[in-house]
Amino acid sequence: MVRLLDLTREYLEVRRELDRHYLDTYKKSLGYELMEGRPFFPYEAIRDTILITAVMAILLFLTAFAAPPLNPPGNLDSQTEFIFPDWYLLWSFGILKLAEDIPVILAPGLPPLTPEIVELNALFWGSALSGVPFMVLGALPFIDRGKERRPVAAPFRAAFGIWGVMFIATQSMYSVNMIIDQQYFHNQNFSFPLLKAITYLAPFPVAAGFYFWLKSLQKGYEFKLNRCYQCWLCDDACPITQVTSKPFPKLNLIYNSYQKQFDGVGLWECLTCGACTAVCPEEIDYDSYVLYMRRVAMGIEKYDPKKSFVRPRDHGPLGLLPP
Amino acid sequence: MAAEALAASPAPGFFAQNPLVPVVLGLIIALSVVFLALVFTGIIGPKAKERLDRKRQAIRQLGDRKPLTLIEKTYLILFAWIDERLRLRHFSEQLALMPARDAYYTIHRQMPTSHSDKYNVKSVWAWYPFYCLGGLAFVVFLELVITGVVLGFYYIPSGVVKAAGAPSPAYESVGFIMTDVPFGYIMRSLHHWGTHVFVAIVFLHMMRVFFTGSYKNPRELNWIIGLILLQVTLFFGYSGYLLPWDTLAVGAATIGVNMATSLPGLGPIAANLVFGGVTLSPATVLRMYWFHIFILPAIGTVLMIVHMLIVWIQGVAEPH
Repeated sequence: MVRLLDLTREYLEVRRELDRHYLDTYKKSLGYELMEGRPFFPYEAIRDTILITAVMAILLFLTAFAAPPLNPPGNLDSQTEFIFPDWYLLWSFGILKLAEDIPVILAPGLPPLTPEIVELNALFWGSALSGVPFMVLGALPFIDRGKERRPVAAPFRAAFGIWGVMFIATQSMYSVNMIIDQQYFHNQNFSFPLLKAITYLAPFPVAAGFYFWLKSLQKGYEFKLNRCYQCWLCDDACPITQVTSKPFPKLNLIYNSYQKQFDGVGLWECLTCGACTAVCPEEIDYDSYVLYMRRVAMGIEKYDPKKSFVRPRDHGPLGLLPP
Repeated sequence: MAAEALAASPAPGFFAQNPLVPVVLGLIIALSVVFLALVFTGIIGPKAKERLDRKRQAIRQLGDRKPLTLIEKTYLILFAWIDERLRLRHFSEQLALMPARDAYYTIHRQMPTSHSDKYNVKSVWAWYPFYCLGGLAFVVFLELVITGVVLGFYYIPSGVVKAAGAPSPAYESVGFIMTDVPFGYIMRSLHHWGTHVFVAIVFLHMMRVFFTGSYKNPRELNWIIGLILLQVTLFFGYSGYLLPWDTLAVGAATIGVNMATSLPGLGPIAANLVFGGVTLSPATVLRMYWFHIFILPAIGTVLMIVHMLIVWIQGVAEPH
């Protein structure tokens, strides 16, 4: 125990040294002092006040105008009525109904705990499968270890999430298949296979559509803009900012070409040497942008606000080669 | 020869009856062999991690000074993992009266100047309201606690009936709350609709965390705690709507008890624990009441405090 405490102290010392070394190099590379943030004020405070008020208003509206149900008293001896649970447990009920398709398996049991032969029936599979979503979610941070967090940057994860949400929704829909059958199909049993097909298949096209929508968003400028590291390599490489020595505004390729601005280097100051494009990790074709804007300024070309100046990347087959 | 042996064998065994099982088992084994091979060759897993991981560097340096036993190494890895997520070492620095300024101005606290303001990014604001859902859930939880305390003064947790089909004291007390208690109707209504709003907000909160990838390093621990809290929430809702002991409650309890007992081995034990028996009885109401007002609130409140403490320690990273 004492040894472990000593070890902790030693670890903290070693780690502190490593951190300090890392931080020194990091601060040097920044070139300016770090600032203290001011959390939650004023944006979050205003937002939270508005949303809490809105939700409380909805709650009080429901409270005043929708009575909480109280059904007839329950009877343990005669259970006849068709019952389905609250909406947030319907998905589990839906799994129970879908599990009726799984064949019954006779498995060997563990004699002191269970009978010799255990019948794994629909109820068992339904109950067991209800735990699967929680297991998948619990393992998620240890499976998905990629760095990208935004849905636009990780479209597959987002599409998987949409698939999951849709599947939970369709399972909940399937759990009330009797009611849907009564209401819309006049007790024709053919609606059950149809509903089942919708339950299994509907999430896929939605997820696929979401995936391709996010993929298309990746071509947009806002996506590029959010990827700007603010590394200021473009500003460092630019020969014009070397001699004009203005501290701010600095040159920022993504911002300039997105907002059609000329921060750092004026429109007619630029040499179009391409040094900034060469160092930019996000591959903005800045000299083309400047030349285009000059042609626009001279009236040679028509202005198109949606024109893109992202250099198409060529990473070879499967994107494996460096550019 | 083989055919004769097959013909002479007794009734087909478990695998012959279920031909899919060996296929699935074989697939699982083959996939795990491939996975282990990838880990050992260093294509994935810890070996593939970059060498500049300061956590690993520190442990390696300690090992170079003095050889570590297995227990010590395990302890160090665990400690380093938690330390990386909860910044224990920075608090230790402040406790040891190290220059607090250094501890405070670390890279962990940094926020760049508002990105959305400078570059006029619009899509950030579409996500912005979703970052308030956790706090909103907490506010609704407080509302549920207050109304629940009021309801608890009048509710009678008993399912014992005088004759079959007669209303139980639990059912009658709920009726009493709704008709005779001053503001009782509105209290039950607030508690009922508060539940629905609470569960909806919790679902949305979890979806926000999923879609923004907020469960990733360093927030794995909080994601797991959140999952436990989700299950507590669902069980809160379930045990809550069993309490009036009306037809809905009995139907839902029947499904629950059937689901629990269908799991061989542990199922009956769990049913005995949660429902007070492998079939429904008046004891079920008392069990559900005790879960609803003591056990779940105790677990939920402690985990909620830990959940929010970790958020406070790690800081939030809302889009700006």
